Amino acid sequence: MMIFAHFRIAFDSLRANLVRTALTTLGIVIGIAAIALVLALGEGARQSVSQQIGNLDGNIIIIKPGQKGYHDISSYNPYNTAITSTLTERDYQSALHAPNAAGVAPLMFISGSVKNGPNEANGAPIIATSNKLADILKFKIISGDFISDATNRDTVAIGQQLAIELYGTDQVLGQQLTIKGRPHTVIGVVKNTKQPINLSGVDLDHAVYTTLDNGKSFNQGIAQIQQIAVSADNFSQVTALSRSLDATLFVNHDGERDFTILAADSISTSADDFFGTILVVTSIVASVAIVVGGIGIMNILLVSVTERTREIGIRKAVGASNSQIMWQFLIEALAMSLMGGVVGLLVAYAIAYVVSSSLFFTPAVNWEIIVGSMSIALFVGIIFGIYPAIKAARKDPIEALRQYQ
Amino acid sequence: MARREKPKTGSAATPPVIELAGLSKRYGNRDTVVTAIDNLDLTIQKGEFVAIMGPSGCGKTTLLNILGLLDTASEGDYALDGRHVVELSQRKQSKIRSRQIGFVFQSFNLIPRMSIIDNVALPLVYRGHMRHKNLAAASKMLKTFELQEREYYQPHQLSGGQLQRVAIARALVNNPSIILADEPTGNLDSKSSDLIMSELKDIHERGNTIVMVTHNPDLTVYATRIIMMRDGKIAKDTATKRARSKSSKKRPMNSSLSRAVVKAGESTE
Repeated sequence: MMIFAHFRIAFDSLRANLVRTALTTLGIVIGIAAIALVLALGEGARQSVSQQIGNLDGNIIIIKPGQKGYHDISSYNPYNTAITSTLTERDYQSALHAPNAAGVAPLMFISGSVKNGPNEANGAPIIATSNKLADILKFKIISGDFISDATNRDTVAIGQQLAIELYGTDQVLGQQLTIKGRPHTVIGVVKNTKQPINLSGVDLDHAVYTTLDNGKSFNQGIAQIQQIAVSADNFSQVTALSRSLDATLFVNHDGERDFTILAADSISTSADDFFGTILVVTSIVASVAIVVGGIGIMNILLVSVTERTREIGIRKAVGASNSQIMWQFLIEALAMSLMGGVVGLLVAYAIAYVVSSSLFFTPAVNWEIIVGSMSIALFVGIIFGIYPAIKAARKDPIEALRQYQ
Repeated sequence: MARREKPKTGSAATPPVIELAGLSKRYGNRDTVVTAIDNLDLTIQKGEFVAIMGPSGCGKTTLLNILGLLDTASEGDYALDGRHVVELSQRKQSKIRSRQIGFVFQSFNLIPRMSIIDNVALPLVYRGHMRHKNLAAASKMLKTFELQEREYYQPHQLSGGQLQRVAIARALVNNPSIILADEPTGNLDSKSSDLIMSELKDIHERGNTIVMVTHNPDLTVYATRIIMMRDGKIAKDTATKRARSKSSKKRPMNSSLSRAVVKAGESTE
């Protein structure tokens, strides 16, 4: 019951000095608005980037030969088969048994010509892989089937663009083509739906897909694997799966890290780190405003305590305890800071939506920002309200009653 | 504050409402010490109407503040309803102020930005009651003082006499057993003074203990006991006088007796 009385007393006294209360609260409004605006826009931008990375099929991990830095995600050229790959079939087998790996497909790039009679496909990648590649890269099977271990060795699936280039149509089931002069039968036509960012721009719609066994036959029976594509069950397991693959391959390679594991989450993490740093810096700048607002509250409350010394004496004379007086003033501080917090949040989102209309993302509205901003407001109210409240509570009633007598 | 042995006064069955033993109050320190109350012994029984008189600076108001737990003694013991005040925490003292003591001040001490009814209900707020109950009790009290139609006036809209009636209503709203009045008619004209005093008399007749500080000898006619203070000590106490003459009767003193006491007090200055 007492708490309601404190709130009533606090609101009555705040209402008695409406302009002063409004101006004091304005400091908190500006501070909270600045922080909430930074958080809403920053989080909105971060979510937007994460979403874009997710759209690029972020749960795919690509294992590549060589150390990181030797060729990074943008400079790696998978067609450069002249470089001897350090990845082996054993690595592929290990990846197959990694926990949370939904699908594993080796990618062996074979250099050679792809021809339909006199028609030669220029620069069509020949990829020896497993049937899992279609699942991992979410290929759309336009007709027929994708290659599998069960199909005949001399069969291929081809990209839709390649079919059109070689045959003038994508209805090419049963057609023959030659790879390095050896005839193969087309058993399926696929269309790529997504372009994973870490496949380094391999033109998947223009490729020929065959089995790894067949691929090995072009390379004296040796699997020269340039990449291993692994998909995680979901995006959240990508990091764990990357670590587990790294550990397994590290053992396979006798403690030599001559392989690189690229995952979209590493890009996402970098983006997160980047936005995180920006958020921290801008939040620190914005928090200066809230500190100024808090000092405003403290200043006004100190003035209020001095002005109302006699009132404090009267209240004590009629039975108010020190703690009751303290609560009265603390609640005044909290009322101002929380009101400032609510208005600040509304102002922040109003500004954020206006600003974001000309940006590529929408501001983030989540409970963390709302609870966080209100917690800051509450914290500021307590920190800057406690000293005036204690000062009021400690007033000697006799001295207080003598004021202006 | 050191406790001293209590003087043997009062009935054995019920403790006196107020019992002071060797009470002193000093202000300042070392060379600048001012003794406001000097080794004072006083016992006030339930139902007494005590008028404390004396020249300015004799320690009347200081005594009243100590009795009302607004101030603390430097030395001696103060027992309120048999409880030694020195042993009470600040919180308990606040509770006693809120439940047992009603203050009436010369300058009314109403909170200017609050309505009359809110001012009267103020002591009840700190008892943790619901607001509507507080307001009902305050309204009832204002009705007794014929101020009901001014409940929602602001203090500045009322006359001095009305303000003091409001202050008395506030002092009584929590049904206290002791009323402490510090020159309650000091700022009022004679008509308003009589009105206030007759109200205090009514309150006394209902069984309340009243301790009133006054400069006005005419007001002592309402009191059952008059204490003259001088230099922080009791110079004259009609209770002692009556006890000595064994003619103690529970009736208000007539004005000739009170004037005699006042004269006696003045002659000692």
